[in-house]
Amino acid sequence: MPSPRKKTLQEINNRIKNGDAVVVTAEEMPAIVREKGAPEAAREVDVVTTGTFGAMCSSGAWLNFGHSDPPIKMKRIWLNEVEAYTGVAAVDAFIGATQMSESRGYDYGGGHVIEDLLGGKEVSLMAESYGTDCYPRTRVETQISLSDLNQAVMLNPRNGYQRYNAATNGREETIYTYMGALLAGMRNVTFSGAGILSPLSNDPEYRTIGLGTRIFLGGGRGYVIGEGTQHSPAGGFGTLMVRGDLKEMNPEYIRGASFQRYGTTLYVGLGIPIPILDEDMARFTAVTDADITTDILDYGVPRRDRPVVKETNYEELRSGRVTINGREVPVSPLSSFKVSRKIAGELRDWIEGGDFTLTAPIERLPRKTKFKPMKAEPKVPFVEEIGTGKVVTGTVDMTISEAAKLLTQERVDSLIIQDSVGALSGILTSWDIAKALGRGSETVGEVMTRKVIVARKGEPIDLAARKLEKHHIYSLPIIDSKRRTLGIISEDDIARFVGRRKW
Amino acid sequence: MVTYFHLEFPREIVSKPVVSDAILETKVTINILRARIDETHGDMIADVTGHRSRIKRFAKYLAGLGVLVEEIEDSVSVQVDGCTHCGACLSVCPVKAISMDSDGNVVFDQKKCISCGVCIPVCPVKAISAPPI
Repeated sequence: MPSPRKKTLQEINNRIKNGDAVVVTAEEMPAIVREKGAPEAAREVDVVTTGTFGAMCSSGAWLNFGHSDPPIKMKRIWLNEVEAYTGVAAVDAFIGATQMSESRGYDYGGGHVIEDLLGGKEVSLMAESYGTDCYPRTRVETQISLSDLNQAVMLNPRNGYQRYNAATNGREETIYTYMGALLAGMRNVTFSGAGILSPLSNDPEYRTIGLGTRIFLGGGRGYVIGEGTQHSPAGGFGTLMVRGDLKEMNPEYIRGASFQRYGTTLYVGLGIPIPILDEDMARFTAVTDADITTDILDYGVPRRDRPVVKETNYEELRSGRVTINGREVPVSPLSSFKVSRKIAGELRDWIEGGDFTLTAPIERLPRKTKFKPMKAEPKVPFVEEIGTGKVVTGTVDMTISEAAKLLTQERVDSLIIQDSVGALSGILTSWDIAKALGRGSETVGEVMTRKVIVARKGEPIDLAARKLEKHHIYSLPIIDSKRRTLGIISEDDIARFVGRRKW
Repeated sequence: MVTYFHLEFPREIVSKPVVSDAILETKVTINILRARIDETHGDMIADVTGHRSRIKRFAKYLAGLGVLVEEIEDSVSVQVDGCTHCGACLSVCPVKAISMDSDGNVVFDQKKCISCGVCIPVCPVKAISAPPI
C-alpha cells in the first residue's frame, strides 16, 4: 500500500499543464471521500472547485475614464444618474453596487450600472468640478461604454462569506431587509450562501486560499487580495477581498439586483480552486451541507445583536422547509445554487483544459481576528427609558361616560384597555369617545381600537419613531412580553430626547 | 371542471353587480384572479368551477348583460425572463405555486398561481412580470 504523502502545488500544476489533473467539484467530493477514505481521495483528486453566486453588497468597480479636452478634475460624477466616488485622482472613480439612482431609487443602482457596462450598453456620464489651473473644465456630459474605459477593475472589499446567518421576522408586520422580504409572525425564512460549494467552508483553516490566490470572478480570472472587510474567522465567518478585470467578465455571472424596499446590490459569481495537498485537505473539502451550521436570527429586532430563533444547517435550509415553534415555515435561498454549481463546473473545465493553474498564497488570511462592533456613543436609549406618558387603564365593559370622566379626571388623551389578567386589549382615545357619541355606542368595547400599534420593552427609540411616522399616530403604549402596559412613549418624549442630544 | 375566463365590462355596466347575478343564476363557483377598473372599462380574470353546462350558461348569461366573455387557456399569470434561480420568491408565494426542482431550477406552476403578484417585487433581478389584462 502506498504511503500517505503530500503533493506539492508544483506537482499539481504540472499535471494540469499535462492535461491529466483530476478535478472534481466540492459537491462531488463528499461521496469520493466517503467511498475511498481521505488518504486515497487525497492521492486521486488534485483539485476541488467551489462556486457561489449571491448578492454581495460590498462590490464595485474602479473605472478610469481618460481625460477630456480641456481636462476636468471630477469632483462628483454620475453614471446613469448613480453617483460614483471620486475622492481620488482626476478621472478615477469607484462605482459601488449599493449606490442608488437619483431618479429611479430602488430599481436601479451601481450594480445595474456595472451589469449594463458589462452587457456592452452605453452609460451616460455626467461630471462636475470647481475647475483648477491644470483642470479648467467644470462640467462634462457624454456616453461611455466598457471599451471606452482605460481600466474597469472590479474590486470587492467583501465577498465569499464562509457562511451566513438565516433570517426570519418575529414582528407583527412584514419587513423589507437586505435578507429580502420577511413576512410577519415568522412566516418565512431566507438564507444566503452556497453551503457545500462555499469556497471558504471548503478550506476552513485558510490553508490554500490567501493573498494572491487565482480565482474565477464573474466569469473571468481574478485574484484574492487579502481578507475581506468584517473577516471574522473566530466565529467561522471568514470573508475575502477580491479583484478582477471587468472587461474579461461574463454578464451571466454579474447581475445588478434590487431588494424590495431595501436597496440595490450586485450578484457576483465567485469560484475558488482548492488544491488537495494532503489528507486534511481531502477531509476539509468533504464538508457537506449538514456540516455547515448557522443560526436563524429574528430580523424583527432592529438591534446589532439579533436574537437567535433556532440553530439550523444548510441541508435543512436547502430542503425548503424549517420548523419554528412547531410550525413548518417555507425557506427562500437568496443565492442561486444552480449558478453556483455552474461556476464550480466551469472552473473545473478550465483547470482540466490546462489553461488555469493554481497559485500558492503569498500570505495566509488572518485566522484569529474578530469582527468588532462600532464604537458609537452615546447608546441609543430604549423606549422605556424615555417614555413619560401616564398609564391610565380601563376595561371593555366600562360605559362611555365613565371612560370620558376618567380621561378628564386624569388629564390624559387615551385609556389603556386591559383584560382580566392585565394584558393590553385595546386603546380608547378622546376621538373614539366623540365617535361613540355620534353613533350612540354605550360601552368602551364597541368603539375602542383593538389593533394597537405598540412599542416593546427593549426597543430602540429610532424604531418607535419610525412606527409613529408610518402609522401617523402620536403615541405608543410600551408593553412587556405578557402584553402588560409599562408606559407610553409619545412624539414629545422623542422630541425632548433629540433636543437634549449634543448633535 | 375549471375554465378560465377573461371578462371585459363596458363602462356602462361596471357599477352593476353582474357577476353576482350570474353566480346566483347559474350556481357556479368562481375565483377572481385579477380585476381592474379604469375610466373606460373593467377587466377580470377568473376561474370558474362547476358542471360544463353551468359554466356554459354562466358565460351566456354574462354575454347577455353586455359583458365580453373570452375563454382563455389558463390565467397566464406570470412571465419569467432572466431568472437566476436564486429562489428568493419561493417563500413568499401564498399558494406554493413556486418550487425548486432537484436540478436547482425555480419552477412556476401556472395552474396554482392566483396572480397575486407578491413574487414580482421580491425578485432581485426583476425577472418576473405579469402581463396586463
